[in-house]
Amino acid sequence: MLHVNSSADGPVDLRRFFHDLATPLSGASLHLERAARLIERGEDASEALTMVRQQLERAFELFERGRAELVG
Amino acid sequence: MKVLIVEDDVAIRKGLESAVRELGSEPKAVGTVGEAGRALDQFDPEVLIVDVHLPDGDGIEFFRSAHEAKPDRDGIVLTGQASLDSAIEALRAGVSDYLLKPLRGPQLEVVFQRLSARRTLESEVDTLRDALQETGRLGELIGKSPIMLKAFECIRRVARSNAPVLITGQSGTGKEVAARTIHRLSRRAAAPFVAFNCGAISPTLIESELFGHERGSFTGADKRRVGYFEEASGGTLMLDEITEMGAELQVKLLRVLEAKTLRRVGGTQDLRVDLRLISATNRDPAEAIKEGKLREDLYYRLNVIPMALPTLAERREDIALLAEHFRRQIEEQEKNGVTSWDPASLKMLESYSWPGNVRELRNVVHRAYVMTEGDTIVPEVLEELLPELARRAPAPRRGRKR
Repeated sequence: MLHVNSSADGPVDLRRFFHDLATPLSGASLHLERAARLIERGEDASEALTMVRQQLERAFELFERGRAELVG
Repeated sequence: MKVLIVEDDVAIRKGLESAVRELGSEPKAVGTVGEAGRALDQFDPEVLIVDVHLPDGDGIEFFRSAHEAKPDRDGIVLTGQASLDSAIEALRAGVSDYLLKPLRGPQLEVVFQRLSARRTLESEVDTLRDALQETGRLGELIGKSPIMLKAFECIRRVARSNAPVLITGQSGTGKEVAARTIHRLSRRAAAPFVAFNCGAISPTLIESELFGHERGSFTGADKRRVGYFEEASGGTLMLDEITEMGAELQVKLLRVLEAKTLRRVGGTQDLRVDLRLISATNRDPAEAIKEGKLREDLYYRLNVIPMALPTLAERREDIALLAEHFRRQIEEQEKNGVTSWDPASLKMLESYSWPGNVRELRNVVHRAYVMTEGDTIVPEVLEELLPELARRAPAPRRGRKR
């Protein structure tokens, strides 16, 4: 859930925006590294890559919602 | 290492689980504080990786309680930029490290290597502590009696913590030696140990001795002086004979302990205090409070961990061990060739009441060493030093050996 405060009495909460975005990016990064390890060992990395894709989609969605709120 | 991961985001949780396994540790991942609480009992982790914000509670608070239950547990906090302040607070609360989101595997690897190196070192120190205890020695403390082994165990546990300790015990029981041992076995061992006797300094000077003073703050203060609190910064400060400190200064000490800052006499700046405080008294603290010699609120601040040292009479089985330890120490310094005890001499020492405790024993051993003409300390020498014993149970007279 993205919490962007663009109220008249305060600045937009950019820190919170980045904080929320960091969660799916963490997931994407960790599963990308997992996929790399699996590929290196010759194992199936498709599940790990699906996770990466899901996390990137989630990050993109959060980013678009945040951007919409930030730029009006 | 058994690692419990507490993170509500499924993707991060699974990613961390895989990364932790890859680093050779055994992970278990849960999503809530409730599940984590149950996992503590069943899984008994050595390391906790916790998110700061969890759906049903605060990750740092959860770590704090898990750490209190088992102080050997290490914690790693997962945090984003927005909650970096709380992560820094967590480090102060005993968490070993933090991981900043977005997370990367190599970041975890570095933190794990650091943690693993520290745990290995601590385990080596523990082994050393055990070995010392088996030989009847912990730091400079000597003893194999059950009561001393209990005290050793207490010291070992206390050394790992940072909490204030109040040591009670009769004069000569080794309160300063115990404090020094706690310091040497603690993580503060590389920083100074400073001992201050509150009863040995004039009440008017104690404040400036403890907290320091600025130049010109009173007549005679011709230059700035750093006090014992600042001298012990990062290390351990021992305040002996704490009940001899005046009531007014006790209030100031309480304020310093609560605010963790001090101000030099005549100063205007508050200075941060980072030390471990060990206080000691040869009086009964409860009586000292009744008599108005010790403020009750200060007592509770100082007495987070109480430690009572036994009198020598309460651990007679350690007397021969101590006497031999002191003889060796003295022989190393003086090299007069006094290398042994007549068994009857040790029996005599064991039957004496030792009102001055270990300090008195050391003095007697030193005097006996000096007065011995041969290589063995014989009962006749002790009879001269301890006439009470000679009157009560004269030892058999025998020739002095060389």
